[in-house]
Amino acid sequence: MAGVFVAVLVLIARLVIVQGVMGANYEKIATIERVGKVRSQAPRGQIKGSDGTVLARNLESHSLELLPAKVKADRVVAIVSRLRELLDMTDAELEALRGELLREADPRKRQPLVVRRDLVSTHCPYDSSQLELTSEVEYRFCPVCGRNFEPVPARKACPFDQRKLQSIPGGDGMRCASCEREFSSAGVCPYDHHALHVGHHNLKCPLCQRTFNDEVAVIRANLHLLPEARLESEIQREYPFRFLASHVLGYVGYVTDADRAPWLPWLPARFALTDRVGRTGLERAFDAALRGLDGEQVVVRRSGADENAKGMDDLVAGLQPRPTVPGLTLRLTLDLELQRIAKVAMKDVFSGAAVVIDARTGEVLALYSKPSFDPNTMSGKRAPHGKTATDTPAYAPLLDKAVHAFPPASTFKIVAAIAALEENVVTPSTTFHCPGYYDFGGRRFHCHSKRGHGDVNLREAIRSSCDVYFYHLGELLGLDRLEAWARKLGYGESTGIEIYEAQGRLPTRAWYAEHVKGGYYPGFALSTAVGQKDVTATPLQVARVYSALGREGILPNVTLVQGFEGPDGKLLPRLPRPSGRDLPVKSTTLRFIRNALLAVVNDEGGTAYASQPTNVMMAGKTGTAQAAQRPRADMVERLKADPLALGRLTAWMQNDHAWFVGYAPAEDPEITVAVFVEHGGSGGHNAAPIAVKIVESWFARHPHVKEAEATQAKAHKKAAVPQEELDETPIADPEAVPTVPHEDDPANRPADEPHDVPGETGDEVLP
Amino acid sequence: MSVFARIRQPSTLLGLFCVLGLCVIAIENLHFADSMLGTTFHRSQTIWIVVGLIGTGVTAGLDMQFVRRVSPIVYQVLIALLVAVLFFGRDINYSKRWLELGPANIQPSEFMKISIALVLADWFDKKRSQAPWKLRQLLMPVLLILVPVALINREPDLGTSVCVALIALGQVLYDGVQRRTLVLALCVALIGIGLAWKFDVIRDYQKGRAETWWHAMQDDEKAPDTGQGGANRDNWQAEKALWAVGSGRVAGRSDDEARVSVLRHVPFVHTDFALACFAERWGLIGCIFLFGLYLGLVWWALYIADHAQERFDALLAVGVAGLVFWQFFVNAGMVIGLLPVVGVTLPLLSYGGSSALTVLLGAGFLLNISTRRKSR
Ligand SMILES: [Zn+2]
Ligand SMILES: [Zn+2]
Ligand SMILES: [Zn+2]
Ligand SMILES: [Zn+2]
Repeated sequence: MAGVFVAVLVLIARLVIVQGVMGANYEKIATIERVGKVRSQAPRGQIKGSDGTVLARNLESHSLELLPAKVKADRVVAIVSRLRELLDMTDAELEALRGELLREADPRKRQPLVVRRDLVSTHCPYDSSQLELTSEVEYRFCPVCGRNFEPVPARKACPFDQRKLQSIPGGDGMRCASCEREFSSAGVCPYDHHALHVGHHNLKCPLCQRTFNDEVAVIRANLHLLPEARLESEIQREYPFRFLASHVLGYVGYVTDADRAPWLPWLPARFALTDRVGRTGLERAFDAALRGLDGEQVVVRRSGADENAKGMDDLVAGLQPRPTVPGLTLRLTLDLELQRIAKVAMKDVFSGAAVVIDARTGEVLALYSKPSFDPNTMSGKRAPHGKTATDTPAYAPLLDKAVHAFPPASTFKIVAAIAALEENVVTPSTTFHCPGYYDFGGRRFHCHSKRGHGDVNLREAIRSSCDVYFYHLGELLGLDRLEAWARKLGYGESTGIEIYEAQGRLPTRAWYAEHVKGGYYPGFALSTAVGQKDVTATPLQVARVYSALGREGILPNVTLVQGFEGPDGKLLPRLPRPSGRDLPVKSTTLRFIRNALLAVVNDEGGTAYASQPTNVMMAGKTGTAQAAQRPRADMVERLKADPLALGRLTAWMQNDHAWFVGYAPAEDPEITVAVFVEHGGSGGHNAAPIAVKIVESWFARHPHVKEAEATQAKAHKKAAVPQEELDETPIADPEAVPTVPHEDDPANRPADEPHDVPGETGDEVLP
Repeated sequence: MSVFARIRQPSTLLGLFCVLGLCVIAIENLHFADSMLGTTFHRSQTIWIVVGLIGTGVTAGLDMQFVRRVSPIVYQVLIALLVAVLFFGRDINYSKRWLELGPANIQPSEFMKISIALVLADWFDKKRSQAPWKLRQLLMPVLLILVPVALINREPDLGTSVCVALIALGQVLYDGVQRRTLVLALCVALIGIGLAWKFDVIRDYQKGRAETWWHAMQDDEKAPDTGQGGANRDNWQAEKALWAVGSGRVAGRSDDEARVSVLRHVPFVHTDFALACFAERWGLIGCIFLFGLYLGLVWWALYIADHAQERFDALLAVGVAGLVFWQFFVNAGMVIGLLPVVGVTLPLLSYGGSSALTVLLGAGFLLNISTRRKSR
């Protein structure tokens, strides 16, 4: 009973406070006619390149909506014809809208109808440049196909790229094959011969020279004629470079119910209904930091007669709940220029990836996966007319091939080489005979050279990528030792990159027993030694491993991010990153491998001899993975209507995967490039040239300090052959090379070390 | 002493005064809300209260032994109805709580409140020798409590299920439980509530979403706190209700003033926030009087419990006291901003036939016990 009394006393005490003490205040507040708390969304942080170029930002986007609840049936025709006047809408769009408005349903239960998203206002829908006012430009709009035609220019050349225009077959009009813009001065559409609607534009994009109309201004000026409509604006995520770095940046999407479910039952929902979250790439990895904290604003409408407005303001101010905290700006390590070069270098490739990392720090300088996609459209922005979200769906544009695992082919041979040297299975002078094939376990394993390489030692085997040599190594080492060494070298593990990445697969005997029908068969070790069969690695992993090989065995941690920017645009101090780990490989072995990799590019007979950068010395390894496949059934189904495309796809899939991974400068690597071309042909012919373009452009912009020496050394080396390289460092000029390797070698080497200088000397029979 | 003489005892008179006073205030308050919104809830509530008062008289005259025999059957029927509600219930405000029976909508969960009090009182009385209770022995009553609580929670109706649990808890505590057992039971209950809450939150959020959207349709402006999810919107409702309560000040407001303000700020005037409407109109003084009536009713029930000779009677009276008190406390706390918003109605004052009937039947049991006790 006492408890009950106390409880009631508490209630009454609270009442005294509410009604007695605070009553007057509440009474004043209560004169507010309508109050709302409006969430004010925190602006999402930008993402910038290493030079500060904005790669992802926020732009206000406007959309026109109709409120079905307010639309009376007799107004529908008037609304539709008004919209026809104000916006370039096709007949089909208008008809669909009319049908939607006339649909029998309780109008109160219907959500607003979006008439048009992303109305043009201040920014170009194609490239997001700020639009400029210009004198009125006539244009023609086809209400059937929705195309826009600009007036035919005087010289019949595209005003944007100056290319010669082609006439549109079957109609009076021209089109630019390169930028897909169309021109007509006729009254009918060249495609469907429907009468064109003539209008005027007064905004021009300084970048792409397209003209536009300020649709938002037009709608706003006419909103009184459309009381059923409203202009909504929201902050849209904008990726100005569209296809350039989409896999790195990722995109955002509206939250789903699953996203919103709170962490703990009693906490409020994690996101508001209209929120967007990062779905892929960095947008996803750094979603929480980019998002910031939403604030709350109080919106007040007071009833008319209120004398004490001043006191009210204080009271209302007291309601102000939460300020907005904008999201942090993310600064990347990505070098935009290099990214662009990588994109251009891959332009003749259907599908693949190019990764460039800083060999010293693991910072990603470029990461391009082809085909790319437009994150703007993935984030809910309307694609400019005639553009699609992705280049070519058949080649998996959404897949980031730089972090997707593929058979690493011959780039994996260094694993067998290092394992064999470290485990004393072979010495550099051990030779095997390659007749072009190797019979093992009742099966014939072929070398890529049908004629065979003859007697080869390890260095030559790496240089000419002799498969038979590595079949021998695979047989001697066995699958599990290969796997263990691959793991030690950094395969099969995360590279540390912030975005999602595949880890790759390093099969063991146990794995085969578990996953493959028929279980393990010793021939698998042979295939694995040459990077075929079931072993996979991502281009990024391969680049990381080769960085370590090039740089004294230090495996760097890969990162895409320099850090967050403070409000002043300066980088905030970053949490310390784990430093790279040391490979458990003897420096003599590493030196030998480096020497061999140098030979791949710079020695005649090397598989990438044709691909040497002009301004720096590069070392690397090619790879060609047998990957002939047939198109997946669903693709066949999808392309049934287009036999030509299906044929193209089938032919493409017959090709091998092409790999090249290399670092430069060879003696003291700054960057490591990995190029993977899916069904691209041979590594030497199809992947290495891409890497060369990338490396050349990098060193054109960042002249290597020892550039002169390097070229000199190269010339020197080619002229006067082995003598000099023999016992010392293979990388010619002693000054260009840190003295570390040969300084401590003779002293520290145990007597029985198989990997000794004379062995190397024997190798150096250069052609 | 004749029955009427016993009724003339001061405690009984006080109790009856409280009950009748609450009935009158309830109808008056509903009438006001109706006049504001053009609804007719006060008429049907009047009918329910009249029916309820007849029920009070009937239960007051029942033979307790008969009641004890019937109560397990009633309990089982109610469980069946609660299950039926989940399948055939009427969907109102995104929750299935009502069964359509002829002209009336029945809310079985309300009747469960008094039924659980009866069943538990009966069980504890039969096993009276074992008190104070250990946890193992409490398995049966815990089951008796948990089944309806879980079913009501499925509707979902968190408020009512919590009330049922609290009523039962009050009875168990009154009967004496070992301290260790008590702590254990509390832990189990907390975990259970946490789990139940999780399911509820998901549904609340769906509800919140639908309602926010509904607001958006009605208003040109965006609804307050669009997309804030259930919890925040509830808080916002409560905050606005608080403005109405505060505006009542000490003496209350004229009807005309109150009408405008309540209409603007008080959600669910007929049900959950009926007290806010009353508080704005009658002010602090009116509220203290109203709280006094509830306190009087609870005091009466506890007084009867203390003076009852039968253990069953005492436990039943405690159950009725809990029935009134917990709902009153949780609802009032919510309206005046002391407790979070859970959908608990104010006994009698909030519109709801089943609820009113339950309270009045409870009063009937109290009357039954008090008029009988001296005769033995
Ligand atoms: Zn056309
Ligand atoms: Zn052009
Ligand atoms: Zn443009
Ligand atoms: Zn060979």
